[in-house]
Amino acid sequence: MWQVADAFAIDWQFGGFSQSAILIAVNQEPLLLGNGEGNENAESIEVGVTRGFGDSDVLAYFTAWNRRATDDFLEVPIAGIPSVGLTVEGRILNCALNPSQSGCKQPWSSTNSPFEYAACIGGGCVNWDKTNLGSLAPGPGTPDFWIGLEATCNIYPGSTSPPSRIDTTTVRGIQYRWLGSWSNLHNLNPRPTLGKFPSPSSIHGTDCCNGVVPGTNDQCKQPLDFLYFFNSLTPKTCGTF
Amino acid sequence: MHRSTVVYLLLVLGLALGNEARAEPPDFAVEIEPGLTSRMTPNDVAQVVLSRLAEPQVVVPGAAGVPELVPPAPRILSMKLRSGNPWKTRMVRDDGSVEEIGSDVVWVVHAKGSFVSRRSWPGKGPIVRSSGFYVLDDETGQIIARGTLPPPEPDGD
Repeated sequence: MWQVADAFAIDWQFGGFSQSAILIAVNQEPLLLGNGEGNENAESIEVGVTRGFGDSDVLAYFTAWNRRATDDFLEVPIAGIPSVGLTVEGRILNCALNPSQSGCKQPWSSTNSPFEYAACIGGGCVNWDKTNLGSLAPGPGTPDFWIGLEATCNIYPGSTSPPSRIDTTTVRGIQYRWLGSWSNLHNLNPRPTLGKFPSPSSIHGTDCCNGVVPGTNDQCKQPLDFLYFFNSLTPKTCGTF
Repeated sequence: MHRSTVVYLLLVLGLALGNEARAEPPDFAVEIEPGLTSRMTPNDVAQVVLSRLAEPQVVVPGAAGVPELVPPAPRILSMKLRSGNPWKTRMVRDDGSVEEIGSDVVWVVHAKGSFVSRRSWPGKGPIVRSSGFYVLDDETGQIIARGTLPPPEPDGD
C-alpha cells in the first residue's frame, strides 16, 4: 500500500510557505511518498519549486537527491522555466525502463546507466545517474524512490527582496514497484494528521500493471500516476518577517 | 573512470578576495583538463563560492531536528575545470523540440564551510555538513549544483 510517508510539514496549513524566518530551516519539509515498507528513510529524488535555491534569492525550480543514512545531499536547479503564474507538472522518470520518455537522454544508449532518472518540472528535466551516487537499490529498475514536491519560500531574515508567489503546483508522480508487493492508487493512504493531502477527487491514477495483480515474485514495471495539488489551490505569497 | 588526459596543477596563492568573511588564506589546487579554456578565472570562481559560503545559513542550532554545527571558515580546498555537465536542463518544447540549457565546461569546487541542504527529510531538519562542493557553469557563472558528495563524472569518461 502506498502512503504518504511522514508527510509532516509544520507549514502545511499555510500552503507550503514558511511563516517564520527563524523556523525556515525546519520548515522545508517536503511531502513525500513512500511504499510503507520501511524503506522510506533510504534515499529520495524529488522535484519542486522553491525560493532561495543555492543560497540565491530567486524563485527557482529544483531537483534534489538526499541520502538519509549518510546525511548527503545534492541539489540542482532546473533552469529555463518561467517562475510564476504557471501550473506545472513535476515528475520523476525512470529512463532506463522507459527511455523514450521526453526528458530522458535522447537518443538513448544501451550503455546508459540502469539507474538513469530524469526529474522534471514542466518541460525542464535534469538527469540523474544514481550509479554515480552509489546505489542502495536492489537492482536495475527498482528505484524505491520517493517522489515529493515542495513549494517553499526561503527568505533570509532581513531580506528585502519581493515575495514569491506560486498559484498552483500540480504534481504528477510516477513510481515503479517491484517484486510482489504492488501498489494500487486506490489504496493510497494519506496521513491527514501529519500533513495536508489533497482530496481524493484531485487524485487520478491507474492501477499498477493495468489492474493485474502480479504474483509474489513478479516484477511490476508499470508506473503509478497520480496528480495532486500541492497544499493549496489559492495564491500564496511568502510570509513577512 | 579513467582519464587519458594530463592535468595541470596550479597553485593559486594569495588571491585578493576582498571579503572579511574569508579569513583563511585562499590557497588551493586548480586542475584544468588539457585543451579546455575558460571564461572565468579561478579567482572569479573562488569569489562566487566563497561569497555563497559567507552568507548566513538559516539554521537554528538546537532546534528540533537541526544538528548543531560550528561551521568552519569558508575555504576553497580545490577546484577543477572539466568538460561535461551531468545536470543540463533538458527543455522539451510543445512542438517536441529539445533544448539543452547549460554549457559543457564547468568548475567543480570543493570547499570547507557551511553546507546546508535546502531539502530535508520528514521530521528531520536540514542536512548540515562542514564541507562539500559547488559546480559552476563557466559560461554563465551560475551555480548549477551543490552538495556533499563528489559530482558524477561526465558520461563516457
